[in-house]
Amino acid sequence: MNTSATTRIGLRTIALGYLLVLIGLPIGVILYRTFEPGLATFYASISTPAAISALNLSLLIVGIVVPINVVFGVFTAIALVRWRFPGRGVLQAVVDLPFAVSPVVVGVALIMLWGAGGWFGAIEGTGFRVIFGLPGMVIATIFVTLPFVVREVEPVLHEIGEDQEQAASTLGASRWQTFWRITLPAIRWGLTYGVVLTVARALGEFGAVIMVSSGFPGVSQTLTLLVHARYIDDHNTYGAYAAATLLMGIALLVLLLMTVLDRKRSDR
Amino acid sequence: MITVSNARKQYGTFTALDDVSVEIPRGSLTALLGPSGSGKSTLLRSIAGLEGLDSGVVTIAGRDVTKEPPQRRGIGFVFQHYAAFKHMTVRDNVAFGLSIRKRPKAEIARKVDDLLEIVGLEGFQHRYPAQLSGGQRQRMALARALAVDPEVLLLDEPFGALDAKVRADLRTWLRRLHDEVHVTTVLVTHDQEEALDVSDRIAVLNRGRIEQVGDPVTLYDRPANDFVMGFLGSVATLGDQLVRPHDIVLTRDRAVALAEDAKVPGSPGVIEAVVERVVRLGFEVRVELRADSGERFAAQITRRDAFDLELHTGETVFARAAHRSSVIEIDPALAI
Amino acid sequence: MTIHTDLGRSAAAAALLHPRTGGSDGAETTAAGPDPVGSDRPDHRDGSSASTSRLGGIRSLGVGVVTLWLSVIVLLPLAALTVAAFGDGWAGFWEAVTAPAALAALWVTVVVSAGVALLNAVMGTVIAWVLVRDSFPGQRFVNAIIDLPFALPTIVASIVLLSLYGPNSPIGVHLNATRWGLIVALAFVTLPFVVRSVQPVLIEADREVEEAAASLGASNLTTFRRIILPTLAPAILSGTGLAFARAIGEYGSVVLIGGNIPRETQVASQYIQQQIEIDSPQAAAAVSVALLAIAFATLLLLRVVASRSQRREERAP
Repeated sequence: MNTSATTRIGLRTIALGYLLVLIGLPIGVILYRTFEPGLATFYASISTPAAISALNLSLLIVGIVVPINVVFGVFTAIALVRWRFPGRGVLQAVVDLPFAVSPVVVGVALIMLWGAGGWFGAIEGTGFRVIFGLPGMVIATIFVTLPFVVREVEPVLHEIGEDQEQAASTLGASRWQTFWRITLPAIRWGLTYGVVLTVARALGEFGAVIMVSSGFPGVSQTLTLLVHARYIDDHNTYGAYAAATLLMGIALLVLLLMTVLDRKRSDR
Repeated sequence: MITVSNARKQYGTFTALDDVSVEIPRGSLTALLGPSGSGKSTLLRSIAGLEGLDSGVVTIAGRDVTKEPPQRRGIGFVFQHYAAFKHMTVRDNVAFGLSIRKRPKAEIARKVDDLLEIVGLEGFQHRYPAQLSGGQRQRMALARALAVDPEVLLLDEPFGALDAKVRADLRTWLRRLHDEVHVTTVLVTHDQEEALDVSDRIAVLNRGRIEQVGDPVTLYDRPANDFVMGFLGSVATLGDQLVRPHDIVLTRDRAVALAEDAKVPGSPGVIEAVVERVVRLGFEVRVELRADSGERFAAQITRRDAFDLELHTGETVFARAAHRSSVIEIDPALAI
Repeated sequence: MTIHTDLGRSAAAAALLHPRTGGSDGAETTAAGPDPVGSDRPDHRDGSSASTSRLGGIRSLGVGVVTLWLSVIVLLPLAALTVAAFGDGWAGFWEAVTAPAALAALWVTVVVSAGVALLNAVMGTVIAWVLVRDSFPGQRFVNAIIDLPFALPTIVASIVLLSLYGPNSPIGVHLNATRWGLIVALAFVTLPFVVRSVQPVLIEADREVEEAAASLGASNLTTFRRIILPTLAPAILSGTGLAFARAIGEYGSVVLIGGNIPRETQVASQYIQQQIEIDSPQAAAAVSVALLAIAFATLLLLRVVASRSQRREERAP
C-alpha cells in the first residue's frame, strides 16, 4: 500500500503524539523533578538509611530468588523438553499459570497457604514466619518470576536437540559432564536472558510483595514498597520521585542488557 | 567384531527390529542398507547403546554390552547432522573424548594434530563448527569419534546431509581412511550406490528384518530375494521373473533367441515385445518395451548392439535373459 | 528490527495462548510414538529409550521434584485460595462476590480494562504500522521505548504518570482519582502487547498482495480494510486480549493514581487488598477467584479463536 505522504505523516504524528503523552512527557517530568534540586539532593534522598536498607532487601531477595529459579528453572525445562512422562502437558500449563494471576491475588493465595490461618499456618508456631517476613516476599517473588527461566531455556534446549548430548555420551562423558560441558554452554544465552528478566521482575514486583510484607521502613521494605510508602505514608513526593528514578535507571539498564542479549541469542 | 543376537525393538505398534541377528567381522566396513523405516538406524543406535533393545544381546569385541551405557561401549559414533559441539573450536571438539578421559595435555595435543591431519583439517584447529562447510564438519566429527580409539566406528547416514558432489568425495575418502585405520566400521545408508561403493559387506534390512548379508558382489549378482534385488539396482520384469535391465538381450530372430535361451537354466524364457521408445543415454541405450501381456519393461543395451539391431519404435523384438544373469522369481507377497 | 525485550511478559503471556509455542510443539506430536513409516529415526526421546529404562529411577525422581516444586510454589497457593473462597460454601462465595462494593469494583475493572484494551487495539496497530512501514529519524529509539512499560516496575509507572497528571501537574491536568487516571495507567503498562504482537505480522506480511489489490483498483482505505486488516486481525485480537487480561489484574500502576474510591475508581485488586486489610480473608479470596476466572476465561477464549484462525490459515492452499 503506497500511503500518501499526508496519511503517513498523519499516522506518524498520532503514534508519536500518543507515545509522547503516555511515556515521553511523564518520564521527562519525573526526571526533571528528580534532578532539578541537584544531584546531591537526589543522592541524599536515595541514601537515607531506609532507602539503603530497601535497596539491600531488594538485592537480597534477588540474590535468593535468582539461584533458586536458575536451578529449578533449568531442571524443569530439561524435564519438560527431554523427558516424556504422564502429566507433562499439565506441568507445561502450570509453568505459564503465574502470568495469568494478578499480583494481588498471588499475595492473597500465599496468605491462604502460609498465613496464620492457612494450610501451612502451623509453620509459624515453629518461629519460621513466612507471611510478613522475608520468606513470604521471597516466595511471592518466586511465584511471579517462575516462568522466565523455564520459558527462555525451553526453546533453546529444543533447538539444539539431543545430538550433541548423545555425541558426548558416545565419547565417554557422564550425564553430569555432558550437562556442564555441552548442555549448559549451549543454553547460556537463553538462561542469561531468563535471569535478566527474573532480576528485573524481582526488583520491580510490587503487588504480590506488598500483600505479604509487613512493610516496616528499614526492615521489610523493598525498593518498590519504599516508593509507595514515601508517596502515601510520608507524603514525601520528592523522595518517591527519587526512588522511582533509581528503579527506572535499573530498568533502563535491564532494557539495554536485554537488547544486547537478544542480539547475542539471534547470532547463535 | 560386533554381534547382535535376536534383537527386538518395538515402538508402540511399530516393530523396528524383528528378531535381528547379525555378525560384523573385525576390521570390516559393513553397510546397513535399507529403506527408511527398515530398522537400520535403530540397529546402529542399539549397537551404540543410544537405543535400548526390548530383548536380545549385543556384544562388542567379545564383551556383552547389552546393559552398558554408550559411555562404556568403546564406540565412536558419527551423526547424520554432525552433532558438532557448536560452542567449541574444532580442536576442542576433537579433544573432547580425550579430555573426558583426563589424558595428559601433551598427548591430547599430539593426537588431535595427528587426527586433524588425517581428516585434512590441519589449519582449522581454531575455527568454530559454524565456520566450516558441511563436509568439513563431518570430517571433524569423524576425527572426534576416532580420537578415543574406539573399538568400533558407527556412522549414521554420515553423508546424508551433504550434496551429491561432496558426498561422493567423502565416500572415497572414508574408504581410504578405513583402509588406513582398519577400525571395525558400521555405516547406515539408504543409498545402494553408496553401500556398493564404500563397504566390503552389506546387510540389507527391510521391515525390521535382515534380508541378506554378504559382500557387495554376491548381493548384486546373487540376491536372496526380489527385495534385495530391487533395492540394490534397477530391475525389469521379464515374464514372471526379475532381471537387471543390462542383463536383457534383444534379438530380431525368434529361433536364435530360443536356441540361446535353452542354454540358460531356469530362464524366464523368450518374451516377444514391441519397441515403444529408444533412448540414447551416452554410451548406453535404454529400450522401452511392451510385452504381449501388456507388461512394460526396459532393457539396457550397449550403443553398439543398438546400432546392430537398428531398432525403431513399433518394431517387434525378442527379449531374453543373458547367460549368468541374476534372475529372481517374483514373490507375489513381496511384489515391489 | 524488532527487539523482543518485553520482560518476558508478552512472550510468556503469548505462551498462555499457545502453550506449545516454540520448540515444544514438535515434541508434543511425536510424544505418542514415532511415525512408523515416515522416519527411520524413531524419536529417541521416547520413554522407552535405553537411557530412560536404565535411568528410569533418576527420571522418576526428577519428575517428582519438578512436580513438587511447581505444586508448592504455584498450585498449592491457588488451591488454598480457592478452598478459602468457598470456605462458607457456594452461598458464601456468591455473597462475597455479589456484595455491592465487590460487584462495583469488578465492574469498574472490567469496563476500564475493556476500554483500555480497545484503545490498545487502535493505537497499538497504528504504532506498529508507523514502526514498520514508516521511516523517520529516531525510529529505532522509539521502537526500543515501546518495551519500557514492561521493564519499568509498576509502582514506578504510577509515580511517573502522577508526576505529569497528578496533583502537582505542571500542565494543570489532574487525572488522579478519576477513571481517566486508571485508563492512562493501564494504557501505559499494557502498551507493548498489541504493538509487539502486530509488528512481526506486519513485517512478514506480503506487500505484493497489497500491490495486487491496488492494481485491481482498490483505494488505500479499501486495501486496508479488506486486505491488511484481516491479515492483522488475529495478532490485534491476541494482543488486545492479553492487554485486557493484564489490565484486570493490575495493581501497582493504579494504586497511586486511581484513588481507590469505592464504586468510582476502586478496581478489583484494590478491593481485594482492602478486604485483607479489614481482615475479611474469605471475601478477598472469593473476589480473587472471580478475577482469576475472568482472566482464565479471556485467555481460553483467545486460545480457541487463535487455534481456529490458525486452522483456517492452514487449510488454505
